[in-house]
Formats: sequence, structure tokens, C-alpha cells
Amino acid sequence: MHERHGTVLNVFLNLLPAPAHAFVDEMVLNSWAVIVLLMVLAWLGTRRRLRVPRGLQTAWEMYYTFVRDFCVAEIGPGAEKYVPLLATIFLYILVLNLFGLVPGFLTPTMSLNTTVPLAIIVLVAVQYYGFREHGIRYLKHFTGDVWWLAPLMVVIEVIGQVAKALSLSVRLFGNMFGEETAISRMAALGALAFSVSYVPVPAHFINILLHLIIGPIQAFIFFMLSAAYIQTATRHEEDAEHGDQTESVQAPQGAAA
Amino acid sequence: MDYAIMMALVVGLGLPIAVVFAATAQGKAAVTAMESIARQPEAAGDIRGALILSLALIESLVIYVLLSFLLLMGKLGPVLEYIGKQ
Repeated sequence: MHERHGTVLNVFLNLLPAPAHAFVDEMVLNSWAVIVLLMVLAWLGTRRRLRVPRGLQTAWEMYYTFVRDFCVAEIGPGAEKYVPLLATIFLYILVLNLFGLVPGFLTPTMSLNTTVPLAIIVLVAVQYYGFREHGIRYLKHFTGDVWWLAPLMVVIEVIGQVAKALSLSVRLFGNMFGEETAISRMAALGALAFSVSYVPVPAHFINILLHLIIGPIQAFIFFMLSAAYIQTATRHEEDAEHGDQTESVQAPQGAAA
Repeated sequence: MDYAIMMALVVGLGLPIAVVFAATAQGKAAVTAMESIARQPEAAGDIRGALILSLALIESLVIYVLLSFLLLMGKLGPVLEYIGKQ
């Protein structure tokens, strides 16, 4: 459990007194490094808020527009409330996943200690948004359609919610841990080939390319499933038909005028 | 000794069986996506997004099996030691 991967940030462990070394995990140190990096980038991007953006502000605005359009398409018209949490989750997990490719750092999401709290945050946030949107009638989501099946349905729905959070965390953890294991095994294979033939063999190159593709995809899957869970918790079914009718009535008038 | 044989079979065959079914399902998803892109090329962006999403969701089931494989693989050594000691 306490075998350490050995990263550049382990240097900071020496600043702490010796009894504290068992309590500070290098995954946490790398997560803090990612947080500091994102904070510095955000500060640099929003120092001068120009109306016509330039440089880093353009990148942040493109990112915010992408997340907001996706959330509005997925959750509905009132989605601006959920954009900060979802955008943070997406960018944070994306940078976490790709952080291990930098030599001297590792991916914090390759241990369950990082992914399970993220999934718990999404679980608690979904319940909070459900209660904020529906009030106490949110509990009716758990009971199902028929009233005499309600006790069974409550148990099944609660287990379903926990299973959703569990699957989010295990999917992210499994992908990242599997990638890291594959990279380390292929690198060991390349080292074995080098020790026999004295020709350097980067056997883990293909796995690194695969990690470059799978990291962002898994971050996007996490983000998209969180948006889908928020959508199922906060949708109003009785407003669906009215929304379609007003849209179809207003469009010809706008086109004629 | 039967326990060691069964465990070796499970560790060896669990992941390939999952991969076979997942590959079939992903192939079906990809075929449908490509046919619908051919039928309606202006919706290619939406279809591509939905395709990537479906592929990753099916992939995650294989990742669950990989997880159990990684958990069991560490236990093979102690099981063989334990059986060898008897």
C-alpha cells in the first residue's frame, strides 16, 4: 500500500516532519499540483476581461460555450445553474488523466481514492439539485408509478443511485489503472528487449498514444453521464408538450417578421 | 488442485469471453453509425458523438471484468503456494 511511485512532487514530502510521511499520499500531491495549475491558468485567462477576447480568454470562453451548449441540449433551458459543476468536473478529470504522461508526475485517477470522491460529489450534487428543483416531491422519483410497490421501488431506486455513482468511479478508475499497468508492462518489456539486444525499444509508445485518446474520452463520459443523471433528477415531465407547442408556434412568426 | 485449475481457467478465460461479446456489440453499433452517416451526412457530428459514447459505455463493461481479473491475478500465487504446502 505504501510503495510509492516516486514523482517529482515527492520532494515536498521532505519538508514535512518524518511522522507525517505516512499520511500524505503522492496522488493527493499530484491532485494539488493539477489544482494549482488550473487556478493559475484561470487567473491568467480572466485578468483583463475584454469584450472581444484574446489569447487565453478565448480558450476559456470556447470551453464554457461548449459545456453550456452541451448542458442546454441535454438538460433543458435552465441548465446554466449546473454548468459550473459540470465544467469543473470535465476539465479537472481531463487534466488529471493526462497529467501522468508528463515525466515525473502520475495520474491521480488511477487509484480509487480520487475517483470515488468525485463520483460521491456527483451523487450528492444530483440529489441536491433534485431537491432544489422539485422540493419534497423529489422523493416521488424513488417510489415509481404504482403506490403499492413503493417500498420495493424505494430500495431498488436507492441501490440504483449508489450503483450509478459506483459505476462512474469504477469506470474511470479501471480505464486509467489499466492504461497505466499496460504502459508499465510494455515499458518493462522494452527494457527486457534492451537488456538483451542493446537496442532501445520504446515498446510502450502505442500505449501512450492510446492513453492520449482514452483519457479525454473517459473524462467526457464522466461529464456526460453526470449531465444525464442531473437531467433525470430535475426534469419536469408535465412541461414537455407545452414547450414543444410554444416553440413550433413562435418559429413561423419570427421567420415572417 | 482442482481449485488451482478452476482459478487459472477463470483468470485466463474471463476477460476474453467478455471481450468477444463486447466486440460484437461495438461492431453492431459502429455498423449502424456508419450506415446512418452514409444516409445523412449532415448529421455526422451528432452521430459521431453518440457513437463514441456508446463505444465507451460498452467498453466500460469490459473494464469491470478487467478489474476483477486484476484482483484475482494477485491471488494466484498465494493459492498455488497454499496448495503446494498441503
